Amino acid sequence: MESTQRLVQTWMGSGRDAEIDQIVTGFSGGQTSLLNIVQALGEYLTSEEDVLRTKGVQLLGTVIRRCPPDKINRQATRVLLTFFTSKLDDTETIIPALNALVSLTTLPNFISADATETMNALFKHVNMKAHVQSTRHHVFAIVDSLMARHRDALKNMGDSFLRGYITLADGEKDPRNLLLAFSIARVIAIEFDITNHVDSLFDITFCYFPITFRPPPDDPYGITAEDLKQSLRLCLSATPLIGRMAVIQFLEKLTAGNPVTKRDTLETLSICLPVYGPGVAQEFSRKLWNLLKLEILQPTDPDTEQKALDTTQVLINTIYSSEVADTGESYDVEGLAKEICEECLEVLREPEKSQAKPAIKVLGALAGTRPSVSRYTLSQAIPYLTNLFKSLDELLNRPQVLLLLGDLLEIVYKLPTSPRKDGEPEGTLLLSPFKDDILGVLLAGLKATETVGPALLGLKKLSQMKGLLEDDEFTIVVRNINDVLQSDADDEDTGEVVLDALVTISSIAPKHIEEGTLPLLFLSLPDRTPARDAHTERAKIWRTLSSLTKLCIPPSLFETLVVRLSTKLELICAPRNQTDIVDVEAASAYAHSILKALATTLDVKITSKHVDVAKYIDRLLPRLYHLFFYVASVYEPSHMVTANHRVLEVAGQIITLVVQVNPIERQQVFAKALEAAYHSGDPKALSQGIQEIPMDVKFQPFGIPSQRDLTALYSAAVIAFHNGVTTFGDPTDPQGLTKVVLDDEYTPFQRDSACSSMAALLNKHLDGQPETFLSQRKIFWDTEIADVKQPFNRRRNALEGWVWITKALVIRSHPFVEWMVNSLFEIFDDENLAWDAAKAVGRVASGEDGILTKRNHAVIRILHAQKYVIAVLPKVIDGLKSSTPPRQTVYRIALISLITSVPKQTYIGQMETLMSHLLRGLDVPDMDMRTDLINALLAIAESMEQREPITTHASSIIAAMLRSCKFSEQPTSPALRIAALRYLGILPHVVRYEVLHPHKSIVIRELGKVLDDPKRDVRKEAVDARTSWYICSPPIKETL
Amino acid sequence: MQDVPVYNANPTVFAPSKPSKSSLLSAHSLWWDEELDVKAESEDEEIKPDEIFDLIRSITDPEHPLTLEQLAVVSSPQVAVSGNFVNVEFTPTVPHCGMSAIIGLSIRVRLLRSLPNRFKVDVRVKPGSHNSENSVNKQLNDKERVAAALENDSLIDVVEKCLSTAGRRGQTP
Amino acid sequence: MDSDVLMDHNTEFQLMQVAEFSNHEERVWHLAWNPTRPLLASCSSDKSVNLYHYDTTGKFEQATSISTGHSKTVRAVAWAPSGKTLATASFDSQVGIWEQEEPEEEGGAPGEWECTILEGHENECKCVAYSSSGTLLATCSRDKTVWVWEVQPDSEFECVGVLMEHTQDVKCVAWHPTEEILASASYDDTIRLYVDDPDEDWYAFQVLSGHESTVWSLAFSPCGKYLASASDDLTIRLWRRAAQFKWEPIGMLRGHDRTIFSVSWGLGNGDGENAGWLASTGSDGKINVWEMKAPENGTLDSKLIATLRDAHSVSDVNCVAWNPRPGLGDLLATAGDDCSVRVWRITGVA
Repeated sequence: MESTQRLVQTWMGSGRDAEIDQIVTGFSGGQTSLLNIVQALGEYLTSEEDVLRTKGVQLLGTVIRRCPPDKINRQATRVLLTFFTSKLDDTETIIPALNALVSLTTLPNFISADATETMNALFKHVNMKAHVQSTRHHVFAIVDSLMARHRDALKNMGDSFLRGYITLADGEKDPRNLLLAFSIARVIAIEFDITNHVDSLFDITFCYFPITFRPPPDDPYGITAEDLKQSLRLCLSATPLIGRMAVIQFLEKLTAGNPVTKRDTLETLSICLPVYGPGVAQEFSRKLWNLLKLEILQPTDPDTEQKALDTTQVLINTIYSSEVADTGESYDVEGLAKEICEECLEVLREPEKSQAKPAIKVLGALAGTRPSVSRYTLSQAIPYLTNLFKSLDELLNRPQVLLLLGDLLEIVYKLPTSPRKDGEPEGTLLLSPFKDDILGVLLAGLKATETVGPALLGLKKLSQMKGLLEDDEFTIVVRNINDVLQSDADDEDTGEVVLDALVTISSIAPKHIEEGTLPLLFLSLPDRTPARDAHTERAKIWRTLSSLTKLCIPPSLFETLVVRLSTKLELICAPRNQTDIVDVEAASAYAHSILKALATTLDVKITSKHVDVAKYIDRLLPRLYHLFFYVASVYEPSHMVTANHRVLEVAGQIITLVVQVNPIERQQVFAKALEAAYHSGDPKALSQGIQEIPMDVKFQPFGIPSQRDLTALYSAAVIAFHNGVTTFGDPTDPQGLTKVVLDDEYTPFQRDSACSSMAALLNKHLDGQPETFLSQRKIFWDTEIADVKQPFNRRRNALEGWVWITKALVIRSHPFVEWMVNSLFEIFDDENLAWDAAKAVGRVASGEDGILTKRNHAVIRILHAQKYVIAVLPKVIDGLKSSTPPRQTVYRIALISLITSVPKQTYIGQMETLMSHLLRGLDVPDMDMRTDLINALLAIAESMEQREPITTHASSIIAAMLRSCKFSEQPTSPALRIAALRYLGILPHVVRYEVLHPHKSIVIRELGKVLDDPKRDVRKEAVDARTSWYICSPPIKETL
Repeated sequence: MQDVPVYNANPTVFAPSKPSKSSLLSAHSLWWDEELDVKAESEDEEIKPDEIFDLIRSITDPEHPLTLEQLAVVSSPQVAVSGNFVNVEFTPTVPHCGMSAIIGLSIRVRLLRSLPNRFKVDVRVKPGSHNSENSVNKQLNDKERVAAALENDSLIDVVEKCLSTAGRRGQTP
Repeated sequence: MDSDVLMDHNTEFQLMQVAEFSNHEERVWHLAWNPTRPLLASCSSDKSVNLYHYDTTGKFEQATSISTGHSKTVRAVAWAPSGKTLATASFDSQVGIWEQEEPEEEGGAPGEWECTILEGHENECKCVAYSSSGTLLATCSRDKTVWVWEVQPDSEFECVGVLMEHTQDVKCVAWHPTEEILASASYDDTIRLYVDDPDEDWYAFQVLSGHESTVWSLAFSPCGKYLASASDDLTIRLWRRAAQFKWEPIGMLRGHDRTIFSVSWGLGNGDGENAGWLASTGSDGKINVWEMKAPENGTLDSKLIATLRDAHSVSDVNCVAWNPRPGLGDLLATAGDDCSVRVWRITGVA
C-alpha cells in the first residue's frame, strides 16, 4: 500500500515511466490492487487543481492499458467504467478518460451492458465540436471497438444509438477519424435497422462525396485520397435504402463535376448500382444513360470514356438482373438496352464521323452484358453494318463501315469464354448466326483498293474466332486473300496487312496456306538474278522472302520452304554454265537474301522450340556444304557467287543453328564428317549434291589459299558442338588454328572464324587446370605479344587471339583469367599495342559475340561478368588515379571498354565513384567508344536507379552532352549525336527540377542549334530532347 | 475546358496516312536488310515538308481526343518549304470553329520549338475554310501577340495539352 | 518587288558594325538612346533592361543590367528628355518608371535604379513615350486604349486622359518633337493623332488611314513637318502636316519583303534641303536607310542610301533607333530575335 502511495506521488511529480512500470508489475504480481491505486490517487482525483485531476485520471488509464487484461476482474471493470464515465463531464479529465475507455472496452470482462452504458455516457457528455482531432479519434475508436465486440448490444439500443451516433459523427472533418467513421457507418447501414434514420445517415456519409482531400506533402499518417475514396465507396454501397438519394446526387456530379469528380462518380456508381438494385437502376436508367452517353460519344479523355463504358455495362446488368432465366432463344429485349442499341445504330448512320467508333464501343459493351442483351445487340448491330456496307450510297464510307465491323468483331473476340454450351468461346457462339453475312461483306471488301485494308483486318479477326470458320470457308478466304497478294504486292502497306492476315491463318489452318499461298510466292522468285538496277523487282523479291519467313514457321510449311529455297539457291550459284552469271555481286546478294530468309526462319523456330529443326542436319546442311565446295572447286573466281563473305557468313549462321539443336551423338557423327572433309581432304560424308565435283580437285581448306575462306563453314559447325563431342587434335591448343590466327598471309575474315572456333573449343574442353596449357600461353605471350621485336601485325594478330582465348575463360570464370588480363595491363605503355590492350580489357568480357552462347552449349558460369568486374574494375580505377597522361588515357579507354561491354548491374552500384571518370571519358577521341559510353550511361539513367550520381554531376553531364550533340564545333558521328541527345532528353525525367533549372535556358538555346543538323534522325532526337526541357517545370499541383 | 462551348461535337474522322519513313527505300542497295547506317556521314538530308508535317500531325485537337491529322485539320500537302520560308495551312473542321486560334497557336509553338530559327514560319487557315479567316491569320502571324500568348499561363496550359501527343509523329501510341 | 531591284545596288553609304552585345537571354524587343548622356538602353523577353555606355571614341561596353521585376516581357523602353528617367512597358500590363539614386558623395558611384509602377492598363503594355517637354507620358496596350499621364514632381503621375479611339490593340505611341501632339498606331491598321483641348480633355483630331495591315511603328521627322509609319503591309507611309490639325499622305516607301517592325527618323548629315535619315527594319532581317530631302516645292524626296541584309544573321530585327545626340547622328542601334543588340555607323563609300 505505502509503496503504491509513494510510487503514485513520485510519478505525480516526475511523470516518468519507471514508476508506472513498478505500479503495473506490483498490480500484475498481486502485491497491490486497483483499490490501492485508486485510493492512492484519491486526493488527486478530487483535487481542486485541474492539472492534478487530469494527471490522476491519466495515470489510472495508463496502468489499465499496460497491465495484463485478465488481471482486471469483472468487478474492477465495473468500478473503472463508472469512474471513467463519471470523468467525462469534467473538461479537465475527459481526454484521459476517453483514452482509458478505449482500452477498457477491449477488456475480457467488459460486457454488453457496459457497452450500452458507455455509449449513453458518450452521448450524454461528449460534444464532438468542442474537441480536437485526437480526442474525437478516441470517441470513434471506442465506438469502433464496441462495434467489433458488442455489436448486438448497440443494435438493441435501437434508435437511441443511431440518433446518438449520428450526432457524434456529424460534421467530422479529419481524414484519420473519417476512415473509422466510414467503416462504422458501413456496419450500421448493413446490419442495423435504419428505417427511421436513412436520411440523416445518408447526410453524414454522402456529404463527403466526392473526396477532394489531398494529403499534405509530408503527411506522417500516410492516409491517401484513395483510402478515403475506397472506404467511402464501401459505405455508400452498403445499403439499397439510400439508393434513390445517392443516384440523384451522382447524376448531379456527372453533370457538373470536373473530369476527376466524374471518374470518381462513375467508379462509385459501378460499385453501388448492383447494390441499389434493378428498381433504382430502372427508375434512373434514362437519366443515367444520357449522361454516360456524353462521356462516351464526346469523350474528354480515354480514361473517363472507359469508366463510362464500364458503368453502362453495370447499369444494364443491374436492370436486367431481375429478368427471368435466359432461355437462349429470344433475340429481343425491352427497355434501356433496346433504346441504347437503337441510338447507337442511329449514330452509325454516319460511319465516317467521330462518334461512330464510340458507338461501336457501346454496342460492344452491351454484347458483354447478359446473354439476352448480347444476342439482341449483335442481331441488330451486325446486320445493320453489313446492310450499310451494301447500300449503294455508302460507297464512299465503305472503309469506315468495315473498320467499325472489325472493331466490333475485336470486342466480341475478346469476350470471356462462357461456361454455357460446349465450352466454345462466347464470341463464336454469338457470331455464328451472322457468319455468312459478315464473311460476305469482308470478301466483297477485298475487291476494292479503298476497302481491302479494313477487310483484311476483319478477316484476320474472323479467322481467330475459335471454331467459327469451317474448312471450306478458310479455303475461300485464303484464295481471295491470295488474289490481293498477287494484284497489288507493290503496295507495301497493303502487303503488310495481307501478310498479317495470312500469318494468323497459317497458325490456325496451315494446310490452306501451304496449298494456296506458298506456290504463288515461290513462283514469284526468279530463277535468275535480276539486274543491278531492277530496284522494284528486287524490292518485290525481298517482300516475298520476308513473307515466306513469317509464313513458314509451322513444320510442314518450313519443309516446303527448305526444299524450294535450296533448289533456287543452286540455280543462282551454280547454273548450267557459269557464264550465265553476269553480275557476280548481284547474284551473291540474291543468294544472300535467300539464305538470310532460311536463317531467320530457323532462328524463330528454335526460339519457339520446334523439334523439326534438328533433322535438317541431314537434309539441308549436306546440300549447302556441297554447293559451296562445288563452286569453290569448279568455278572461275570471277563467277564464284558463294565466295562472297556475306554469303559465307549467313550460310555459317544456318549451319550453326541446325548443328546446335542436335544431340551429342548426332553431332559426333557430323564432327567426323567435318574432320574428314577439312583435315583429310574427303568431303563425301559431309556434302552431297547433284553437281559432280571432279576427282582431280584437291580439297584442303586449311592449305590451298583459294579454299581458305571455306574454313568459315568449319568454324560455323565447330562452335555449336557440345563439350562432349571430340574433335581433331588437341582442342586446348589447336595448332592449325593458331597458325591462321598469327600468320599475316591469312585474311581477317579467315582469322575471325579461326578465333571463334578456337575460343569455342577451349571454352568447352579446358577442364581442370592443365599446366601445359598455362605454360604454352606463357610462351605464346612472351614470344608473340610481349616481344617488341616481332613485326607489329603479328603481335596485333596474336593479341586478337589472346582476347578470344581470354573470352573463352572469362565466361566460365576460369582461374587463369586473372593472369591473362594482368598481362594486358603490362603492355599499357607499349606505344603500338596499348590501346588495343586497353580495349581488350572490356572486349574479353562482352557476351555479345553470338559464339560463346548457351545455345551453342558454351560452358558458362553464372555471375561470370560480376566476378570479372569485381576483379578488374578496381585495377582500372587505381590505374586511373595513380597514372598520368598518356597512360591515364589508356586506362580511361580500358574503363570505357569495360563499362560498355558488361551488363550495368555489375557496376551500377559504384556509379558514385565511376561517374566522374566516365564523364572525362567523354573526351576520348574515338567516336564509337564515346557513343557506346553515352548509350551505357543512358541505359543507367533509363533504369531510374542510381539517380544521385547523375544529380551530383548534372552540370558536367549537361556540358559534355551538349558538346557531343553538336555537328559543327567538333567532329561527331550522327550515332554519337543521337545518343547524346537521347541522354539530354531523359535528364528532366531523372533529375529534380531545382537542379536543372539553372541550365534550362542554355540547354534550350544550345539544342536550338542542333535542330538544323544535316541528318533527319538527329533532328528528330533534338526536337524530342528540346521538348522535354521545355515542359520540364517545377513540380505542380495535380491539374484537374 | 469545362465551360468552353463544343463547336463540332461529331466531326468526320479520317484514317491517318502511314508515318513517313526517314530512311529511303533500301532496295537501292543490292543487299537485303542492309540497315541504313546512321554512322555514315553520307549526304545531307535537308528539311522537307513531310518532316515538318511529322512535327504537327499528331498534335491533339483541343476539343477531341483526336489528332489534327485524323480530323484532316492538317495534311502534308498543306505544308510548304522554300528556302528559309515555311508555310503551314490548316483547315478548321467547321467554319465557325472557335478553336482555330488555339489550333494555330499550337502549330506555331510546336514549330517555334522544333524548327531551326533560320526559318520564317507563316501559319494560316485554308482560304475560305473559316468565317473570320483574316482575323485568325492576322493574330497567328503577329509575333507580338504570339509572344504574349506564350506568357499567358492558362493559354499555354491548353497549348501544352494539345502538344503533349505531338511527339508521336503519326505513330499510334 | 521593284524594291528588290533597288536593293544592294549602288548605294553610296554603308553600315559598319561598331558593337554587338549578346547579354540578353531572350529576344530583344526595343531600344532607346539616352538624349543627354552616353547611354543606350535595351529591353527583352528575359524581363531585364540592359544599359550600354560609350565614349567619344565610339567604344561601347555594357554598363549595367537591371532585372526589372516585371513578371513578363519588357516590350518597350523610353528615356525622359532630361535623360534622368527611364520608362518601361511590359506585357505584365504595368509601366515602370526608373530613376537612379543620387551618388552618396559627389562623383561617387551612382546608386541603384529605383522603380515606380504605373497601373491602369488591363493587359499587355506595348509602348511608352515621353513628350518633348518631358511633362507628359503616353502608354498604350492590347486593351485598345492610349493613356496620357502628367508627370508631377517627385515621380508622381496623374492620368489626364484615356483615349479609346482604336478598335484593336495599340502597338505604338509617338510624340511630336516640339508640340504636344500625340500619334498612336494600331493592329486596326490606322494611325490616330491627338491633342489636348485646353477646356476639354485629350481628343483625337484625325485618323490616318491607308495602311492595309497592322501599323507597327511611328516616327516624326526631326523638323516635325512629317510623320513616317511602318506596317505589316510591307510599306512605310509618309505623312505631311498640311495645316495645324491636318495631316495628309505624301508618299510611300517599299524595301522590305516581310513585316516592317520599326522606323526611326534621324537628323542625318544636315545639308540645305536635308530632312534627315529614315531607317527601317523588320522580319526580313534587313536594315534600310533613306535620305530624305524636302526641297522648296513642298515635295518630300526619298532615296535609299544604304541597305544591309541579315543584319542579325537569320533573325528578325525588332527595332532600329538613331542616336539623337548632336554630332552622333551617324550612329544607329538595332535589336533582334537573336538576343543581340548591335550598333552601326553609317559611312560614305569611299
